[in-house]
Formats: sequence, C-alpha cells, structure tokens
Amino acid sequence: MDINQLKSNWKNSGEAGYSQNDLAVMTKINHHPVLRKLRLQLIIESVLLTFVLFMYYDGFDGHLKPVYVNVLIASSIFLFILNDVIAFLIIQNPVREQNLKESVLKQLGLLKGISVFSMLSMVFYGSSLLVFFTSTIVFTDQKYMILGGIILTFIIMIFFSYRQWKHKIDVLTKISSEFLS
Amino acid sequence: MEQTAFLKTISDHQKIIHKVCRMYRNTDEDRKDLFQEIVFQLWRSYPGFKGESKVSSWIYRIALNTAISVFRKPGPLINYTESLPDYSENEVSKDQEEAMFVALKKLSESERALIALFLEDYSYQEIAAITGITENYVGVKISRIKEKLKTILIK
Repeated sequence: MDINQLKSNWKNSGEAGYSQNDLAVMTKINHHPVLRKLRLQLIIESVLLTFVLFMYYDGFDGHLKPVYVNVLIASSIFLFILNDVIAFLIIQNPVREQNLKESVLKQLGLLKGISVFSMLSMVFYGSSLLVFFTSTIVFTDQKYMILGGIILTFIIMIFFSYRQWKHKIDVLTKISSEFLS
Repeated sequence: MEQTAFLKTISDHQKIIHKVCRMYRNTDEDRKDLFQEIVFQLWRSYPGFKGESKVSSWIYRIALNTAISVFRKPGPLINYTESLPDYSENEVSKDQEEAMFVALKKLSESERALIALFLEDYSYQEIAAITGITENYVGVKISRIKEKLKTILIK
C-alpha cells in the first residue's frame, strides 16, 4: 500500500452512522461518558460531607474540641469539595487553544496544578480527620497501633493517587515533547 | 436554530470524528465514548467558531485535541503483529482500511495527528496552523512519518 492508496483509503473510511437525533443526545451532559458519573459523585460527596459538617459538632463532640481543630476539619471538607468542583469544571471545559501544541502544553500545566491541589487537599483532609479524632484522646499502646494503621492506610491511598496523577502527566509530557522536538 | 445548524454540520462531517476515534482508541466502547466526548466538546466550542477556518479544520482541531488530551481508561494491551493482515480480492477495501489503521496505530500520538491531516490533503500551511508547529517542520515530520509508514507497510 503506497501513500496514494493510504490517502484514498483514509478518505473513504469512516461511517456516517449517527442521525442528527443521536448527535443531539451527545451534546447533553446527561449522556457524557464521564461527566454524568462525575456529577453524581460530586453531588453525593458534597451532600455527605456537608451533612458531616453539620453533624460533627454534636455527633462527634466537636464542641468539646479546641477551636483550631474545628477550623481545620471545616476548611479541609471545604477544600475537598472545591477540589471535586474544579476537577468537574476542567473536564467539562478542557483547554481549546488555537492549535494542538498550545492546547497540550496548557493542559499539561493545568494538570500539574490540579494534581498538586488534589494531593494537598487529600493530605489536608486526612490529617484534619486524624487531628480531630486524636486531639483529646488519651493514648495507649493499642491506640497508637490503630493510629499507625490508619496513617499507613492514608499513605498508601496517597501513593496510589500520586501514581495515577503521575501516569496522566507522563502521557501528556511525552505528547508535548513530540510536538516540540 | 443554532443547534440545528450545528447538528447538520456535524452530521455532514461525522466521518472525520469516526476516523479520529478509530485511530486513537482500541475498543468499540472506548471509541464510542470518545465520539460522544468529541461531539460534546464541539458543541461547547461551537459559539466560538466564527468560520475563520474551514469547518473540517475546526472539527479536526477539536477532535484531535480531545483524543490526545482527554484522560483515557487504561486500554487493553494490544500486541500488534509484525506483519499486516493479508486481504483477499473480495474484501480489499475493508481489509485495506483495517490494515491502514493498524499501521497508523504504530505511530506516536502526535505523528497520527499530523498524518491524518496530510492524508486528508491539507496543505503544510494548514497542518501547521492546526498543530502549532512551523510549516518547514511539518514538512520534515511528514517526510519522516511517510518513511516510517513505508517500513511498517512493507513488513
């Protein structure tokens, strides 16, 4: 197959299988392959975390904890929800520059920024929860072991999250370097 | 009214989106997801399209950008065979098409974008405008990709 045959095959390939009604459905967020699930996740997490925010004061003796602990837990929950909202908006509105190279470079910068913000908000949220539940506790050896287990679990979760972000960043870095070299 | 015009435009040019999906995704499910994602992104960027470039150039730019930039699920590992499939006289066009996409998938993601535009008969100037690399460099890159494709297709 030579280049002319390739050109001919390229021009003849592709389908025209979708009707205008099918295409109209695809413009709706409810049918978006990722955004629909992400929106549902955002709503559920926001409702649950807001509920926790309203309930922790009485339910988990927030009124007996130091003020700084209450400020920490409230701000970490706020940051967690903010992180979800930012991720949703970025996926809904990806970078669309005038050309592919600029788009990929901007998308890469954005991805690096959001990955740092996401990891920090996760660490902050985990740390705040730990501080909240341990601030007035009297530690025993057994409780130290449980605390160690919880911290280890957090570290593993953060490591996996880091690996996912790194993979996404590496893919885009490779593509951007292809456009630059 | 705006949506009617949009749908007509996309319906008339949907082959472009199908080709980009086929070039960048390996499974039917992933291709369908990417198709939806591209149509969604085209619709969102439609108000900003002022007709300064060809409709097909705008569709290619958004489609390629979406295919390259949007996070994808880790796909199944596909081991492409060293040689391309043989095809019989009766199934020439379908098999040649399949062979073409197998060959294109052996290129890097940026190379696929460049060669797709070249195969669509865009000028180097138009390819440079869509991809953001210089016209001269487009020429160099296309020449390298053609050599690479020749080697792939000979095997």
